[in-house]
Amino acid sequence: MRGIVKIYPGGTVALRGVDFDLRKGEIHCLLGENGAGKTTLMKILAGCLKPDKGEIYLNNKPVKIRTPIDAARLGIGMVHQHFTLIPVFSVAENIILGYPHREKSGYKLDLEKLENEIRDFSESVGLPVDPSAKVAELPAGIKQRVEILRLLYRKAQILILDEPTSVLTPLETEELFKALRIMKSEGKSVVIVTHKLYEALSIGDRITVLRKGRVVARIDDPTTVSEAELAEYVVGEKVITKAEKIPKKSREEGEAALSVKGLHVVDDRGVEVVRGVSLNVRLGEIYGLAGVVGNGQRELVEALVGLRKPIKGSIFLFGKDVTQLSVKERILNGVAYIPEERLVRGVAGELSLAENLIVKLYDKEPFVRKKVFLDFKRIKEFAEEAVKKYNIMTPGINAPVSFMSGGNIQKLIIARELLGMPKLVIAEQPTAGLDVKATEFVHEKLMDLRNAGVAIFLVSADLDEILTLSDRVGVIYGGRIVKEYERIKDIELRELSEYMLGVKEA
Amino acid sequence: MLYFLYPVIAVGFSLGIITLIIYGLGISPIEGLGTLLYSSFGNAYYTTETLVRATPILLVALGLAVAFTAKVWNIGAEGQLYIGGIAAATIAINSGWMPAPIPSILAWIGAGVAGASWALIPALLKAKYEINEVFTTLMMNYIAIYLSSYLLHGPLMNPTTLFPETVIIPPSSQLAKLIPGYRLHTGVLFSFLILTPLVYIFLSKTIYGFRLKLVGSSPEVARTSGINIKKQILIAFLISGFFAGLAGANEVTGVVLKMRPEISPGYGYMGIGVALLGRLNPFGIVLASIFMAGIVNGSYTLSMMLKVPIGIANFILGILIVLIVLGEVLISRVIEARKASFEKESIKKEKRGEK
Repeated sequence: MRGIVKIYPGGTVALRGVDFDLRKGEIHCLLGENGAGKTTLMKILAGCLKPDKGEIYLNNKPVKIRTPIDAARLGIGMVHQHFTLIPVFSVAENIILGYPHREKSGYKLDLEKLENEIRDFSESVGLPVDPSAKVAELPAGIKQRVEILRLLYRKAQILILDEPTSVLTPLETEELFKALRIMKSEGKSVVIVTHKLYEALSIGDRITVLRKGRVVARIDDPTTVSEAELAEYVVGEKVITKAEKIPKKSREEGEAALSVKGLHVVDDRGVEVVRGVSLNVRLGEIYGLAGVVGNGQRELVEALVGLRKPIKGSIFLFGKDVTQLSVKERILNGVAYIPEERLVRGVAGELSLAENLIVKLYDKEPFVRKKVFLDFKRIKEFAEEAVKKYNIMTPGINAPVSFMSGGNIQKLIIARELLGMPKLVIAEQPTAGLDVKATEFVHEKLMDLRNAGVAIFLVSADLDEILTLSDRVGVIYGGRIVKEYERIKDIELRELSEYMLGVKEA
Repeated sequence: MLYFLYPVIAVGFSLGIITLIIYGLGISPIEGLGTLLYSSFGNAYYTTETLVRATPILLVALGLAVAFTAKVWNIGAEGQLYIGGIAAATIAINSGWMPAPIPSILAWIGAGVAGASWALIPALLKAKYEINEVFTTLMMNYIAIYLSSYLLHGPLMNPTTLFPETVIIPPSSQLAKLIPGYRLHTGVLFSFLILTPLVYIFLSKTIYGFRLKLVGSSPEVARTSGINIKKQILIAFLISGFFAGLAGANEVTGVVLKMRPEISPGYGYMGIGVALLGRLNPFGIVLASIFMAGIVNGSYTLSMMLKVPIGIANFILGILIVLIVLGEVLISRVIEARKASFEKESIKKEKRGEK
């Protein structure tokens, strides 16, 4: 792959000219943080996404891969992070799906024969499965096996696995790696997309590290690098260069705005993902929670906002126990929330800018008259003021917000959250997917708020952001705060990234 | 603009199809359409008849506008109407001794509450167990219709004629007629002039309407904003059930003057099309319900005079619903296109700004 550039609609540049080589018969690990562009790059190779620039060569011949079908014809197949199997179908049915198996019998499907064939095939490649089992009843590890078999059955020569071990137990991981090594010995090429360092080191023949859409390291011999060195490549040199960072005024004395004690939270599947988090966020400070996405941040934030009931522990706002309070009551207690999924949770796309501006305070002065009627004149005034003050680009305050770009939607969300004069702002990946200008805007706003004495809980996977803005930093790994730094200047990057990636434990 | 223009296009298209059918039956389209128009709005009598017919459709559709705003797809108005009719007749018959407007008022309130209670069952199923309301409400229509049929063949049967229908409700519970010799009654006036603006204000001027709209357009944002979604689902269901119940009361106390099986030729279903055709806007719904009523009445006349099949009204209704739903897709495509062009423009603007 040569000079691959990908810009998503909305202006996010995911890949900025990436070269990537894959040799025959190797296991190649593509390493990087969330949002580094790993998955995007591989989706381009698999025909799921179209690059804006760049060429792909297969056996030194330029190829065009427009669809996954093109890719399959060229022997390229991808196992996505989220499985693409049909749960009500059997293993055999899933494997032949989209791969017409027409013989002389015409359109009739000889399932029995097929199942025997697949049983033999799966055993021959070292990934035995029961072809007649319903996929819905299989554990994640076997489902993944089915996905891989499906590719092998179609004679794929290049297999791409996106975060293959994220759903596996250590034992299953071992089995998977064993099977991958067999495939390698048969001359197949495997790409493993991962953010786990030890994984890359243990299975990869070569490693390519991506950061912010660029290749930052190519390692031809993994035995020559240490985990710590690799961590530095992944996380990168962080330069703290924000002039507007004002030294804070006697932070130590700040009153605790948010105080979390021994919080345990389960996710949608009932798995405990926040496992005993305790922390304090004081007025007039930014507390940055650093961590790789998926270490319990989302559920922690949901518990703080009131969207998810914790199973254990308590949450205090200004000394008051709010663990049992509703979302609404917490909003009224001064909690503002800038959610990560701004198009899903931040704004209602079909509603107008004005309507989205009041979704939290529609039933409060000055937007309501006689407790029941909306005051549209006031709402219009506020919307126009917000558009001017935050420089929001919109076709009009009554146009649906789905017309607006991500950066402008984020401005709208911030405008709304600040309307309520919050005392605690919970910002979740506030600049993910935003361009440089919008990012700067968000950072400035958060800094202004901090200087005005508001407490800010910043959750971000972007270390630059954490280090630029935070007064104190906590590192979350596996649902626990594994390290807290009282001062930014105490932070040693290598150590921080080791905590983030679970290399070093508290 | 297009959003409001589209219903007009859909209506035009469906009228075109009627014309084609009439033509296919060997009748001059001009004569056919003329008859249709004349028999719905041709003179004072036909016009008032159309309004009488439009009232139950309007009532159902007003309630559905509330439900659909919250994206609660209550397809059960027909059943809620029947339950309302049974309640209205029972109350009217038993409160006839009271002076004039009281029994009819009680009948309307009782019918509304009965309709709402019937809607409460699918509402709870959806709010508690996330069971798709389309299936439950649709199936509950059959239960309601056969339940009322059973009651009318049993405990509520007219003891003298032994017809499966109630006795005529007492005069004090009948709605007053507005003009002698016409069926136009106070219920028509009340529905068009009082209830319609009330629903309009509720939906677009109050915080309650705003909550429903927010839940309908983004449950996730609603939740994050501290709105109790289950409660909103219940409210949407109860209000739409209440209005469908009122439609039943309207028929019992204003038009038929007794409860009988087949009291509704499908008002509950017509209301769905009318609510969508009126773009969930009560004033749009007024126009749409009158149009629908005109087609219903006109098709009766057409079938009598020109032997056009009576089913044509339901045929048109089906076409309209499909067209409206199709229109949503087409309109959203146009919006996507506009969105793209706006994005390009704003990117250009931003670039110019940078220079």
